Amino acid sequence: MSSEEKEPLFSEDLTRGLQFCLRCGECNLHCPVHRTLQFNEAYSPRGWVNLASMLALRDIPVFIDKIEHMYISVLCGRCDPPCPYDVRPSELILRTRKELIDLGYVPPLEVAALPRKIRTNLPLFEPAAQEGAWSPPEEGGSSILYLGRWVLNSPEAAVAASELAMRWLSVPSLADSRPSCGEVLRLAGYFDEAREELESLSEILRERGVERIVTACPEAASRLSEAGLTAKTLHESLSDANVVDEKMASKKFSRGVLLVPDCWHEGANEAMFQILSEANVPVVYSKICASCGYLVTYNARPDVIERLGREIASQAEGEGLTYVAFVHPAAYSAVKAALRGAKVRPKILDAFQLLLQVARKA
Amino acid sequence: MPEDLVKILGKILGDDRILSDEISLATFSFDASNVRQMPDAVVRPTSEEEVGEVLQAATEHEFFVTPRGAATSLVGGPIPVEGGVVLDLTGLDEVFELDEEEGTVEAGPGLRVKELEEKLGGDFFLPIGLAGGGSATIGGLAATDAASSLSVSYGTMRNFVVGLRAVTPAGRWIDLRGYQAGGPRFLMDSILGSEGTLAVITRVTIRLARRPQVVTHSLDLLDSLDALALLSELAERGARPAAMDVFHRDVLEVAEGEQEAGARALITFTGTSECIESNSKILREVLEEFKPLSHDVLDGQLPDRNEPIIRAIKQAKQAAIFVSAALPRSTLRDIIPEIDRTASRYRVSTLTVSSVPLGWVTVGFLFDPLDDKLLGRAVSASQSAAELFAGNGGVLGFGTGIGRTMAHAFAKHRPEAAAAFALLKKVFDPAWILNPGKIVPTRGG
Ligand SMILES: Cc1cc2nc3c(=O)[nH]c(=O)nc-3n(C[C@H](O)[C@H](O)[C@H](O)COP(=O)(O)OP(=O)(O)OC[C@H]3O[C@@H](n4cnc5c(N)ncnc54)[C@H](O)[C@@H]3O)c2cc1C
Ligand code: SF4
Repeated sequence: MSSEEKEPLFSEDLTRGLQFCLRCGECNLHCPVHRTLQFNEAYSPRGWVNLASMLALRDIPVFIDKIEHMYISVLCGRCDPPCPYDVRPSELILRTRKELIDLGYVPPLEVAALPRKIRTNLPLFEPAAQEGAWSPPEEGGSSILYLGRWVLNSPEAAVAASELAMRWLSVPSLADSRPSCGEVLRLAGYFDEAREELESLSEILRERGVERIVTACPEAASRLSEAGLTAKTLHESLSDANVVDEKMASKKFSRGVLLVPDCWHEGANEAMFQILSEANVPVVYSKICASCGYLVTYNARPDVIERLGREIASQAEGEGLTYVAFVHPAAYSAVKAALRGAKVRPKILDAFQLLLQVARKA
Repeated sequence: MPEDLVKILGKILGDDRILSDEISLATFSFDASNVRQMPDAVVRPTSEEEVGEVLQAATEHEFFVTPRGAATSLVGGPIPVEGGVVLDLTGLDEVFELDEEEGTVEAGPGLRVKELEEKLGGDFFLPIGLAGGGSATIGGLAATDAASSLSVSYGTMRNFVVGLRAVTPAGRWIDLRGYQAGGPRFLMDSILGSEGTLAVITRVTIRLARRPQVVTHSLDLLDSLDALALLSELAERGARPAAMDVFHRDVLEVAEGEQEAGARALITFTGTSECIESNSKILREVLEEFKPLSHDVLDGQLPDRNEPIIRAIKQAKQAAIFVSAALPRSTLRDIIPEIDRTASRYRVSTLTVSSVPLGWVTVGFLFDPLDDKLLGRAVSASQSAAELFAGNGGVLGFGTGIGRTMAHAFAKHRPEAAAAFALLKKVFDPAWILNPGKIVPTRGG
């Protein structure tokens, strides 16, 4: 039977979108996962899109292996701009996740458990830190720090963010991140649940009379702004507040830092880079990204994260740098977990912990 | 995968280098053409020796092997149309030698063009890499003898390959490093452009060109045939374009909407400023007679044969099957209208670009990937065009390779050339296990 006679598995819009990948391979060149996995076509934007296209046309059957495979992309979006045909592979991969879920296919277990974890405030990912073990100390006024569920998964980053927000911005933290901004769910393919979460969160914040939100998670700032609230990342808020005083600037931080940017939040990257430079910290960007928050979207296999982590660490080591600092706290916790037990020379932390150290030194 | 194949390959490569799960087989079943076939297995060697051993095993145990670079082929070249094993060469991307003064690189075939150019910095460039984008591999470029608009002045990929190492299906090594010209260079020339049917290239030495000064003139003309007359006139007066691409009415209309212009010509001059200026002066004089609809000068810009086509495809929201050939220039006047007739006969739209000095014509036949009937008509139209080109003395597959999609037309219209190919193939690959179904459709041609 020809593919025309068979009813496509996915919506016409998605099926059509998938067919318009002309398989030129330009996107593959830019994919950090493809590169890390030695250019294996199976792990590439072109590979994912065309696998989804075969599923759409029912050329191959849907089994758990293919569903899981769709969750290996870190959705960093690096493949989107180079595509000459504007195919936007990362969006197609995400929409494939969504439509598979809508069709009743069960995503990988950790992903399937996410809506419940979000609702019940359980830690999101394994090996996760003990989320309930640390509660933000303050309740917010008209300005609050919203940590976000990803950041709460890593208490040390959350503590550092809260301390920085309080110390330098006098902004207290919201006691928990429930409801979440929904991004965790959206990237898993749970679009409706994500929307509901964001709506509930916006409502709560409005009811409380919160006028200004500072977020430790770069993505939360984007989502909350989209929902019509005034939100900015902690990174940028600290940079705007010119937190580096003379004392800090006068004391050279002798250890070098490899700053791992968040592919989707240039503003947060630039802000962090600027603060560190002003504080006289020798800082360089890492060559590879894949460090964005999406790296931790549960889906990236631990071995993929581990390889990326090793590559980042080896650049730091090669350049004689002591620290690897992640702009996105969630990327930090994922890489840290993946490298647990591995012998890695540079110290791995997130940008907030690093900044706190720099401030303490001064 | 047949179990014995696993055992055989397992003796050569580690388990993680042999892929036989459905996801891997599916993702190694396509390239940029519409030819598809899943292999029985994919192997991903990391050394030249492993490549030799896989081929030797294939000859001994008689299974097919299809070499693959980045699978950007437009003609099904790296598709295992007869099944068997796909030999993924992207793992062989080591740079062995780099001479930044001379612009020479010796590297594994899996090195991607973009990385090659990055390694050599701004002074050098590969005049071939422009059109195919940066993702194609140098092995793929060498195996297809890739071409670009600049091939008028720079030649095709073979001009940049100054050495190679390859292995035949029987596991014999051919080391032609250093044979840039003369002597056994002819051996190298038979491997270059043989589309992975005679031997697998495991190392290539490439000498890049120095980046030239360049000026491109963009002219809107009433008709694509005017470009032919324009080129003759330029030649007559001693001007020699480094490239001359003509985008035909179909491209302009799809990309930019209906308009007066029936063609856009990009005429490129390279060389010293004096040389460019004197050529440009001749062009301006000629244009006084030709009176183009518009004339823009794009300083410092090399021609990009793909950009308008990509824009048109994006606008049309369709996919395309491409047919490409270098035709005797004298036939272009008759063949160009014939392409239009072929398209109307099959009720499909086309995108046509020609590099006039080379007689190189590429036609894309558009189709909606979700409409099987239209796809069928586009396939028939493309076959018909391939036959038209081959029947008129065209070098079929110039700039893309013959691959699978043009193999039938090649064998039918060029039986002697196909027989000569079979003769050579017998020497290199007596068991006929390497990339079967390409260049000629079957063993018997
Ligand atoms: C948008 C687009 C534009 C293009 N424009 C051009 C153009 O302007 N000019 C042009 O020439 N081509 C063009 N191409 C076609 C394609 O990019 C070239 O044919 C390129 O050389 C293929 O390189 P690859 O690494 O992708 O090889 P593949 O597609 O993987 O393989 C191509 C052929 O080479 C063989 N092969 C690959 N590696 C080896 C090896 N190491 N040893 C032996 N055989 C091998 C394969 O078996 C196959 O037959 C274009 C393609 C696209 C998608
Ligand atoms: S997604 Fe775009 S860049 Fe990637 S292979 Fe498809 S068409 Fe090319």
